[in-house]
Amino acid sequence: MAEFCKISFPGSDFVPITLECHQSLSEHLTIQNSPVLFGCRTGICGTCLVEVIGDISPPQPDEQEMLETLAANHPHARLACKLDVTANIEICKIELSD
Amino acid sequence: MEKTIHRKLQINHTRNKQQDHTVLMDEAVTNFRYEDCQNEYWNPEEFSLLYGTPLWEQSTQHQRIILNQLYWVAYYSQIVSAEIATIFFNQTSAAGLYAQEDFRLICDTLDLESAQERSHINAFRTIAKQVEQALFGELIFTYPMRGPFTETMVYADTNALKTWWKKIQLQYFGLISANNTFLACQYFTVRGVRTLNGKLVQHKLSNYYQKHPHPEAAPIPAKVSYYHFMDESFHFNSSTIISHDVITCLKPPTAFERLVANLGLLGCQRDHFHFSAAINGIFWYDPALYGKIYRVLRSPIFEMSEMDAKEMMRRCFTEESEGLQRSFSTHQEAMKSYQVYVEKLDYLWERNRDMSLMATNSISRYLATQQRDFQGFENQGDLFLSHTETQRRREEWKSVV
Ligand code: FES
Repeated sequence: MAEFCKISFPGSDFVPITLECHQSLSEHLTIQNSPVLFGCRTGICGTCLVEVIGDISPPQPDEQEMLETLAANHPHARLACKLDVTANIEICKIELSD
Repeated sequence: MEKTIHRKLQINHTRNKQQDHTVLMDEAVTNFRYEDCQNEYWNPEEFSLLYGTPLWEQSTQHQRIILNQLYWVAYYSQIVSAEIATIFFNQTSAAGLYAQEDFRLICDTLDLESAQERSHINAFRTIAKQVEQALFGELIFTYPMRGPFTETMVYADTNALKTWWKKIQLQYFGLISANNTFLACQYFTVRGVRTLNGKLVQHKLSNYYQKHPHPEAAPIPAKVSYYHFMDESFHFNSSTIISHDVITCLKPPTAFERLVANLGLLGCQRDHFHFSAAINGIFWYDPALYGKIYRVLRSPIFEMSEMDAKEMMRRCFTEESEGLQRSFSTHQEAMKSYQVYVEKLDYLWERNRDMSLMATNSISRYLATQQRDFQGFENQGDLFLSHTETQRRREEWKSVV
């Protein structure tokens, strides 16, 4: 298993960040070094809703319930504050057309 | 109300009820005894009063622990002010939301939040008062309970006229938002911005408990930080749903409503204009803090002479330091976060959307202000408390303990 994971942000000018596996994104990403804004940081507010491409474990029921409400039509939607990162991933901001 | 919005409100309310930390917080505070945790940190080290300043550099390990605890006391005393105001405006906004279908769910959520705020206030004050009593025997950062229309505890260059004017504005806002659904919702934009700011620091404070090698044995104030953080996550979420989603169910705002809404956010930018070398994460106006820091330095903890205390303060407040850099960086992160948070609110003025007022502050501006104001402070005669002043403070103290 990789000890470090690269988090990249395609479609933006932000440079990729390397983190140790299982590190919490909300402790390392800020609105200044990534396209992600964290609000509650506990998986309830959806401020950190993103599209994630990469090998990542599926959401727990609580996150799943939020994703069904916030972005039912986005198969890769995830809450960045709830991600357990174990591989290289790409993160993009989801633009919801409300 | 649209189905998704209703669902979001429902999840927020249900989960907040299920995961409510009030009982845990009340229990923890009942068991708080300062002697039990007086020799340890309560926050990550970088969240200490005057961290990264000359004072921090030359402090002993014991003094650093006290500075760490005083950060907690000062930080949460400020949060008390915010929560007192929140309890009041939750109620006036709930009144303004009666005109909304499904208003009951929102009002029930706000009631739950207000009850949680009361528990938070009790926790912060109980701990802070005990600490200040043990360390100083007088109030420094803690203050007697107050109403919702007063300035928060340390406020930028205020005077009696400004204080009166702010009070009138807050009272007027309470009155009109209780009868106006748009303005009731708009209150939550301001509340959301303020909570978003709080979360930047509170997340780090709460991590101290979560990452503690033995969380159950962690100092009680650290536990309280965590419980508070968890409750506030739901509060931030309600602010977001009401100010971003519920507002879309209403008619577009009138010119008057837009004006009031924008003035509210501009006031928030004004409140968050400054940053403080003494405390990273609260946007205090440092000259208003000189007197308090002076008292800490003259207390038995630091035992400084009048001259040494003033010289130390001059170095901490008027010169660049790592602590100042860190506070400025939090200020920048907050400003950028606010910009993204309000991005989609099209009724906002440009200068509220790009937070241009906050953006005009800088380290050089901070230093220029301190250099000017510190001179006045330094030239004051005997700063140590006169006998009558000490008496007055002791009376004040007795009234709250
Ligand atoms: S920050 Fe609120 S859900 Fe992630």
